[in-house]
Amino acid sequence: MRKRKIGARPPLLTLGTIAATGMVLTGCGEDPPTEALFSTPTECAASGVDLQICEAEYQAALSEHLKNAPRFDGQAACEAEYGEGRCLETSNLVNQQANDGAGSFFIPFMTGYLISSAIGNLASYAAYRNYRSSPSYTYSAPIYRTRGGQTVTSAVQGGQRVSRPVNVNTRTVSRSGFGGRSSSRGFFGS
Amino acid sequence: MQRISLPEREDWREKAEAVGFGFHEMYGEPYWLDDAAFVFTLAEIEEAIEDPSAELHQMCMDVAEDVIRDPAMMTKLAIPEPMQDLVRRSFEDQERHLYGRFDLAYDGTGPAKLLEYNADTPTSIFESAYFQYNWLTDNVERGVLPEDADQFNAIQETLIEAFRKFSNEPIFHFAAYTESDEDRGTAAYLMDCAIQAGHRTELLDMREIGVDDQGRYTDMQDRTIELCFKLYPWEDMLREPFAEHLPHSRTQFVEPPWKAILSNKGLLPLLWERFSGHPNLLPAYFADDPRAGNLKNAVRKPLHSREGENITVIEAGLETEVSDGNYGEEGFIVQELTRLFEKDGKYAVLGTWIVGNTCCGLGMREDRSRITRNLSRFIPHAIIG
Repeated sequence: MRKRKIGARPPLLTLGTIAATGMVLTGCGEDPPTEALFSTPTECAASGVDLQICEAEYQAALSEHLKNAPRFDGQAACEAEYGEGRCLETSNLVNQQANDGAGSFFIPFMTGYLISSAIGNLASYAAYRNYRSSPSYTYSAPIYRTRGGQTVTSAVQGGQRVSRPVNVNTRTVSRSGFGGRSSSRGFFGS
Repeated sequence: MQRISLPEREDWREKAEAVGFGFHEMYGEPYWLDDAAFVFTLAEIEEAIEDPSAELHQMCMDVAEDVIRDPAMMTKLAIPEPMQDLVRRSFEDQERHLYGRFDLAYDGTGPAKLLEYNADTPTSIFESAYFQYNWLTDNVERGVLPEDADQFNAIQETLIEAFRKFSNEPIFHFAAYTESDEDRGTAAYLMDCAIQAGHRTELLDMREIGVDDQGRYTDMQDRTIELCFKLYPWEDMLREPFAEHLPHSRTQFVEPPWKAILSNKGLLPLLWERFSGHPNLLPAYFADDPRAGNLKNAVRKPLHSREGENITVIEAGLETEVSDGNYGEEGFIVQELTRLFEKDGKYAVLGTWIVGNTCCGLGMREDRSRITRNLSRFIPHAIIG
């Protein structure tokens, strides 16, 4: 039988509908899911999350950090991006997790971690342990602060360890700077 | 290639409403036709439509490369001078693009001809990818179409694959002009595909995009926008007040700024200049090129027209059809007039979908005029034989 031109799997809609009404537009109800950025487990616990969860997620982020932190061959290159005195050489690490045989290199200090709202909303450490073994679990991401003050996390892209900006909280000073020209026309699709 | 009639599915309106496809009727006219179809042979689809579309996309990328090297060319395409560097950098950095739709003229004979490339804000993707798929499987199931009836439609799975290639670290924002049912539906559909590719998403209106005191774009929760799909034309964004933040913004937009080159009708004369005589191209010139006057049967289009606005059909040197609209101040191109598939006074245009760099599907639209406008109708297709 010849290969068919139609997709093998019938298309699905996870939201069930493309009628994006208030719910989708505002992110499901009064409490939109947001992530929280913490510097330490103590700061995390102070926000109301179970301290044990905060510590476990800190360890998870730290382990991710050692595995996938942005890597630099030299101290100067690392400091150029993350600031003076803000990088360490992996050969100095007692924990050799970061040293996967690729030789020694420099990585930035982890300055915090990003906890997802799903974890932040768990009622107890027992619930957290259940959640951790579920497929929807994603560990908290390590956070770095660049020399320019930008908050980034690590990511692996095409085999390279790179830094990725994260959506940080800020303060909006102005809106409606886009969308004006086409309002007069009504719609734009083509 | 033929146009056939078939009994409509009795419950298709309920099915449309159930998935939020509310714009199956627009301006009080039916937009989706359930009782008609275009039928193609596999050879027509593969040899006349799919392969040429894939080749056309590659040719467009070659032209884009020429354009980014030549500031005069950018100016010719009415890309504002302060924004040219942004467009150039986005191309040089190979910023990832998502999708586009070629409009082709084809009537079953001879090569398909490129009419234009909707490479920046194409709509009708939901109809093509989702609703058309179900139309085919329903009709096979109820015995109206043969069991081996096929369709050129791997659009949704190709979209999901394409979305997987974007980082899923930041939130994937989706910005659209949400007052338009069609635009909002299109953005919501693509957002659904992104969710299926593992992204966290958020839909917002173009006008809700904000900036913070560092010139970073922000959403309604005052979070920075790092990755943003926008169903909004670059030629407008580049001219609006927030354009001033674009050159320093870290936000990765989808489509990327370099799509301003491909979605521009000025692409057509540039393609003809570089690939003159290519079987899938029509002769085309900028309106101020003396050679434009040699085209006695032609179509004049503004560089930035959407929805078939401000198009003029010229036959034997006379203007025979004109559509009104608000476009044209940035200039015009002239393209040789070509034959469209016609039946009972209705004209059909083929829309081939390019997702990433893959041609993965087809959607047909039909209009009573040769200028396909926003009153055109979407007609499903099948491959039989």
